[in-house]
Amino acid sequence: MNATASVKTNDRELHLSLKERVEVIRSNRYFLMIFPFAMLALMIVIFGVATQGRFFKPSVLKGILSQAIIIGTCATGVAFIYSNGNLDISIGAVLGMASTLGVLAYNATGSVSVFVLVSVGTALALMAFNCTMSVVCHIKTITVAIVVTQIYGAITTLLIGGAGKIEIPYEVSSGMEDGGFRYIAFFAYFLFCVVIYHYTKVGRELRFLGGNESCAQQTGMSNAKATYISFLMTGLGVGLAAVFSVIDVSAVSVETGNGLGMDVMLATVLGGMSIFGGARSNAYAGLVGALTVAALNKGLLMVGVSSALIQGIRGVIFLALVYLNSERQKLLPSRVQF
Amino acid sequence: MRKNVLKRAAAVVLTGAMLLVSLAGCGGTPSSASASTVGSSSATSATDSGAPAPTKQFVIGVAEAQANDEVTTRRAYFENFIAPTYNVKFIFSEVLKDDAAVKTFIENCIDSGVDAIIDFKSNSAQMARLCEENDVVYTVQGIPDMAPELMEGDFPLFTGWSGADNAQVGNLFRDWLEANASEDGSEGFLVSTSLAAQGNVQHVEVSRAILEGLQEKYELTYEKTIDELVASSETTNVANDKNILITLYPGSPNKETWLPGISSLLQSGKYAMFLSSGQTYNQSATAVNEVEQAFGIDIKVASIAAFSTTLTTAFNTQDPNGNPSVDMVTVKPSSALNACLFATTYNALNGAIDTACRDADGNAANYRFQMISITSPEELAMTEGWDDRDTGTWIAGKEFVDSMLVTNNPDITPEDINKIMASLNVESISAMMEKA
Repeated sequence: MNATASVKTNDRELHLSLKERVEVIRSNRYFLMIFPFAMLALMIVIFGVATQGRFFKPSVLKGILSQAIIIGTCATGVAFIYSNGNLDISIGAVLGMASTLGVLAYNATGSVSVFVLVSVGTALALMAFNCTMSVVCHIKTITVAIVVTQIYGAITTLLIGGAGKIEIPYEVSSGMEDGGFRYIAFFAYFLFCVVIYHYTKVGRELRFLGGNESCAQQTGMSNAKATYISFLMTGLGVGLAAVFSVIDVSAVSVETGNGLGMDVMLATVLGGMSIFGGARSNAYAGLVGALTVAALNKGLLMVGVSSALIQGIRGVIFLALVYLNSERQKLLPSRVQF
Repeated sequence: MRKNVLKRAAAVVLTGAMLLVSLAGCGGTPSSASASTVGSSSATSATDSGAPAPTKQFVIGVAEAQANDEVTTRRAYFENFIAPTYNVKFIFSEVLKDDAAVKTFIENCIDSGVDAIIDFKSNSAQMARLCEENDVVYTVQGIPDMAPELMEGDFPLFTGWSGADNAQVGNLFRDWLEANASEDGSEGFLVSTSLAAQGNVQHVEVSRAILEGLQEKYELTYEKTIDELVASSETTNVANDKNILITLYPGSPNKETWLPGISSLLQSGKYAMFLSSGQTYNQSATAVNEVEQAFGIDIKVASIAAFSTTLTTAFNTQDPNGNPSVDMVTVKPSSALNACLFATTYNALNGAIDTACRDADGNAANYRFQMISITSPEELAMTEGWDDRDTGTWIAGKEFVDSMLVTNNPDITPEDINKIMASLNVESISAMMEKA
């Protein structure tokens, strides 16, 4: 079999191999924008058919959104950090500590407002600290993140103490859930991020810095300022996600936030965005990726795939999606991704 | 050109669709899959029951916290024996790292149509509420002390707790220490308290019993209380009036930081006795062996364990001093515990939750089981073939499980089930296995 195929153009016929044909598809300017949404929609349709329509039930679809909301919120925020070419994997530890202090504040005051403010304030303060360490001491953000992850984790363990878990009254968390706090806060934050990211000078500068830092700086853009903005936007998201995680299980434990940094990276890449930033970055990739992960997990379980197989299948699908979603180094003025 | 590109994009998407459809086909019916792998043991084979399996198929989700021998054995027991014998379908989770993951798994199970959840991870009122709202029976492996809200709340579909008699486990460690520690305590004691600092009851009880055992043997006075020491989340040298070296090392053996930390302490050469409140003997084996070779010492190892080839290998592998690489383990009769969890869940599913799953005061039941101490390859040989997932020979065979089910014993109560569980010891299990 000849692996080549002919592609007719206006004035000539090209003979392309399979690999080249895939590259042509991936190189289309709209591919990265459309593909993650197409895969998510396709996945929902397939699981819907495979489960005789049960997957289309509103409760199931709402469950997918609910399960994706924590990673989606963090990923939406972290997109700002990724955009200007930085990495931060400490958000799990930040979320754990923010949740813990928020719950302690609630238990001390009985005020939901204090709980939310302390959680968000803590996350903002910790992300600002991470950023300051990087900007002032000229340490790479990923290095700072590795170190502070240990510190924040240790502080959280000490704050939580021997029980390993601190709870808030179920009435409080269920009241916030029933009142739609999670969804309202999430969509407000998401829209805020999309507007800042795609329709303001700040967002454009972040993407430009991520695409070509030297060039951006020569045009007068401040990397330090952009880094602070990106970390504070992320801190806001992680703080909200900390509140969401407490609402979710009415408690915070020493395990809260474990592995979140990697989950967020995965969601971002699945959503079609490079974690190394660049001009084609966007604020919604993380949410699309988080929804994809949640839909895949639920769908595979509902069609009866065993947990042992789910891990392997998920890995294969993720690899395929990441390959198809990854940017083309030759065509884009971005940092090397893989 | 653009038209062709779009055609190719569509081709890629359709290829993805085919991939997903074919993956969806990976799901099989567990009962059919299970039926083909039923163990050969005449004691436990579903086909030996003489009665057809119940026609109503219940679906039970199993939320797992770990991935180790015990979990593998449980899965084999449920899938290969319980599922075909009692016409039950199981949905197993991956390793669930926290309560949020458990909640997600339960929600997904509910969407998949489960009738019950057996929770090995969270022991939480939140999960009980979630199950309650969806008419799903909820059973927990653990003890009530760790879940006061669950104990005090009103959860009509919560069946109760099943777990080890931790005080008895602690006593096994205490007795072994009394017989095996030196007279002057000069060997140095390294104690892995595992998740005691996070409140894991078994780890707390075993760690506490070890410290009490050392205190009694050497008439020690600790500067801190035992409860304070056990709750420490940092590596701690236990200050005492006789200056005996006792070091507590906390942390989850499942975390990548556990082994390097234990290895560093062992490599100091100061410890000749390593006691663990968790199942760690296999993870620490290489580190222990290296230190024994380097320092020419014999490190005695005591740990929690489950029947497995790993345990057999450990007892039959000699260290540089000609001793087994593990010296004492307390072993869970895994299938018996799982049979108890299944029985209480199954009784609730058959409408007997108010009689079979409530104590005399009307509270959710609290089931306990005894663990078994093994100190030599000879003792282990006596247990050969127990809970063997390769041959499908289970301690808790059909007769044992049937004795706890309302379908066979309509008047069964939690007290009756506790008596059945308490009757398990080496002798009684040996007799059961011989009879089988």
